[in-house]
Amino acid sequence: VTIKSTCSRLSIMAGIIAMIASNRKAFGGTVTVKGSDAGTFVTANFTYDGVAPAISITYAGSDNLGGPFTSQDIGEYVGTGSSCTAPDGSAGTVFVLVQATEVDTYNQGQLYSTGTGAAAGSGCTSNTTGSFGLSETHSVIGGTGKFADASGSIAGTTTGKDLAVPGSPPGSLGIFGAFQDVRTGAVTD
Amino acid sequence: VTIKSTCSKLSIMAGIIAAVIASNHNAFAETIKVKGSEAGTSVTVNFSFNGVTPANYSTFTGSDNIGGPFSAQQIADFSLDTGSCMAPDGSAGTVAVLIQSTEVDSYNPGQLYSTGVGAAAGSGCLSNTTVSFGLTVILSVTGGTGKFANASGSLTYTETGTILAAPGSPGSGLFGAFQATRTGAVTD
Repeated sequence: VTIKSTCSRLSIMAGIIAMIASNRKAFGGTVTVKGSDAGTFVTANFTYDGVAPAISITYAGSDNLGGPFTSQDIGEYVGTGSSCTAPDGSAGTVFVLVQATEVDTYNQGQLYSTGTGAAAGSGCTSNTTGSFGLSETHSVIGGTGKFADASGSIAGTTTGKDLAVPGSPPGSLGIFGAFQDVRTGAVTD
Repeated sequence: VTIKSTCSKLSIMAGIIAAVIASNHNAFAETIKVKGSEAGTSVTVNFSFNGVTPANYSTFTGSDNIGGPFSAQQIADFSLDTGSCMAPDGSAGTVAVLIQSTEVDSYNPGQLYSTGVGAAAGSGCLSNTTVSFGLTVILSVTGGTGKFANASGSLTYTETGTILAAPGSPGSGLFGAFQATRTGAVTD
């Protein structure tokens, strides 16, 4: 009887395990994101609003969501005219996010995220030195592979520098710059 | 007395070394003879150094003895000269000269910035009949971040590549792939 009872319990446990295994979401967990990345950006032939061109952002980094990754982000920003202090201490102008869409490519799949409007992103760019800082939060909107059903948000704290701003006024022929970024947030996969 | 004197001298020496190191970051500076390689792609973008021709944006990865593995991006503008040359695949070509270029290499220890201007900093050959091209570009290091915040020196890239897409009108732009070796000397 004892052996039969034990076998019965084991069968039930095996059934539960099988049910869990058949339901991928049962493994879904929320990860408190911690990572960093670095890269560059350049003016793109792309615009969200028809007013200004977006920038194409290319970078690589690593985090605790999926390890090493490479990323591309298409983001558009607009100056507000308000004053601020750039990361290097020089006087600057506030800019805000118009819209951004990001793809992070890990070994386990791609993670998609997006942000829209000033509430999702704002920063300060120097009026004289090229130094800039930016805080931006994206909503995760799924992806592929491990991240097919991902949700949550990722926030980036960025510092960087404009390295080439040809034209008059500067940047009217495009902008090329570099940045480093720390990423935080919470993602459920 | 001898031990006490020796200890005193060692203390003074340690103090001097500590003061020099603490007050002068360059005490750690060293010049590295660069050796590395890389590969990537390049595409025409909505950016121009001179307002006349659009630049190309290159994205590539590689590794060298400055900082190990890196990912990099470069914005570069070239113009075609009237001179003749031989492309890497042996076909007849036209000389290309650099207008301007800015590059960022992102290593784990930091980012390295470099730039070059004019024909003296870069030239190459683009085949007239095939998709082959070759370039040699010399960029001056202009600092960076982290380990490379005070970096200086120069990097020389010897590059061969293939144009993979060059759509005709109404299309425009170039997309190609390349491989390069990098040499030079960098002080960080």
